[in-house]
Amino acid sequence: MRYLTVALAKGRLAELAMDIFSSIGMDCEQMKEKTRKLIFTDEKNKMKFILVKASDVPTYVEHGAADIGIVGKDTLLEEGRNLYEMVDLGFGKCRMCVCGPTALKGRLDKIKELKVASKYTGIASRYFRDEKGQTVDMIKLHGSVELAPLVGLSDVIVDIVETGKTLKENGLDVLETVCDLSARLVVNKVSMKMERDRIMNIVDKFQRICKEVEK
Amino acid sequence: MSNYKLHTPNGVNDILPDERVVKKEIEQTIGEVFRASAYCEVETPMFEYYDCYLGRDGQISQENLYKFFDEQGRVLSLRPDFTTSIARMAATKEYDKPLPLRYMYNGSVFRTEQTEGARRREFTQSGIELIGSYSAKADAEVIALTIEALISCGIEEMSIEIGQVGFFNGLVLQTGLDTQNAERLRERIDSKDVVGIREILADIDMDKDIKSLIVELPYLFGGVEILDKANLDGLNETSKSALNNLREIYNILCDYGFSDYVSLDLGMLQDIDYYTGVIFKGYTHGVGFPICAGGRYDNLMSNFGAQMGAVGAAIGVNRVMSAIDTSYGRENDVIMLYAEDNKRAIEAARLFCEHEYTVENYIENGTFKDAVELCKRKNITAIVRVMKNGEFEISDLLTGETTKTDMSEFEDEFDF
Repeated sequence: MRYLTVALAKGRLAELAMDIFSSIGMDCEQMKEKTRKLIFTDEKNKMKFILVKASDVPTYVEHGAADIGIVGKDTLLEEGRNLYEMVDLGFGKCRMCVCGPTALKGRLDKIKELKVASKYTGIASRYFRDEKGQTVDMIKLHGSVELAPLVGLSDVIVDIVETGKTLKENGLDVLETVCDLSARLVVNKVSMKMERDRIMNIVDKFQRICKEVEK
Repeated sequence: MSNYKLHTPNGVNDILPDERVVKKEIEQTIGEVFRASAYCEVETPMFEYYDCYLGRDGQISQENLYKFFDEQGRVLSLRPDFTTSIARMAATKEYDKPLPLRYMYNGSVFRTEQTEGARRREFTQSGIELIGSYSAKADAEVIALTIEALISCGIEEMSIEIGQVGFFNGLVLQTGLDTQNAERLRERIDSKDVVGIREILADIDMDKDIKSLIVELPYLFGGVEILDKANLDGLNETSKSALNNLREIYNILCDYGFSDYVSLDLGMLQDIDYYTGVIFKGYTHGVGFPICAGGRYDNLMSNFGAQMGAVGAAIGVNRVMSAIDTSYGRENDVIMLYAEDNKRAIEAARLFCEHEYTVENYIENGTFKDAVELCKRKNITAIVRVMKNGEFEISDLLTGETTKTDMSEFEDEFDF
């Protein structure tokens, strides 16, 4: 039997995903130990788990270096990769929003040459161009995006909003919602065809667990 | 500044001698399979007017075309595939030939893909087009030949997934979605994203069974039984005839003996602006992308002024190379020729070549010992020393054995 490889986005998503994998009978004990290892094997089920940066999960899965991936919808939207998005895991729920000074609420459409800063320039560009039909100036940032409107780098930002606390502390507000986000189980298209039974078995179990959690 | 002259651009690369041997063998193997079923090889230009590829977004969108200008400012584009060019060629130059027309091709195509990892910007496609038939037999023939070609290349484990865009098109008619939302729906189904599908269909008032069929579409893949599962009473004619067409193709493929390789996927919906009926993709272990793809494109021919059915398939030669054990087929039957006498050596070389040996001439000014040394470095196991008196000294460098002979004796041996 071939190994099935699962790519997990490092951090909280990986921990939550490991809980589900444990509960469906996979051996994830290795991963719970504090270690710097990035690859873990479950010999009994012929599974490998690898820990990668969130934005790299779709890349591993699309190229077939991993058969399955656990990753946020935000990363999937931003990367726009060609893969199967099989299960909404329900956790990691948050929203992608346009945020800025409260004064701009309801006035975004009227600003010509709107300057938008974001880590997610792909999502932001598509939202303004395709859904709103508005031409904007896009500025790519890699962190502390909330700072941009405060120092005049941009008018607004597009970023993930969970509780809105960081925004408030920086005097910003949610102006528009781009989309809802949550963690997804994704599958490589070739793996799905070549290892259908094993993968669908995992997909079905994940779906059942996620449905129960919803209830 | 980077020293660009030492590097190849992203997405293209050199094919080194050992790889070229394997690649050529694959190309020839595929070609023989196609040729045996009466497909005629053609070549089309490496670039065409951009207009030729217009109006066919979806298969290869305009962002992925390499564009440049001719001396009169007209836009040209490197070919992103062969199908379009062959359709143009058939419609404009071969229209008076008896139908159906069968073409095969092999060559590079160019796309401005994102290149990290496995995607290439120049890659080789070997494929066929069957033009002038609407029948399911034509569809099945193209799929069967593709399978046969892949098997001949040494790929034993593969899965050929077959879908039918007509099934989805029929369902979309029933939802009443506009083009833009239909496209969003297609994309979500192709990604098997049930959440996304539900969102799009949420506010649509339609037959409940059909709606849940669309939500289920991502999971409608597997054996022939899924055709029964999908065959609801509420389907319209478009969807129904798509299912019948799939069943017919499937049955013919069973007659070919290929049922083990084939499975069905009603949720496979890539490139549907271009394809009009059956579509298929082939996968194998160890390659994260399809190794072949194809389908029926009945609208493309009329685009060039000839209304007729057509179906085709392309095999990704580079991907087949990475799927098979590439160590096969490389036999070293090279002879090094060391000349004490030039004229006699040239005669000897001709003789060996005639008998299908590969002869490498020693062209340095070194001694015979130097030539033997070079053989060892190059893994050449036989050296022939052509003496002034016309004698050959043939040395097997593996055993260290040396035999003496001459031209006429050698010829006699061959005649034997």
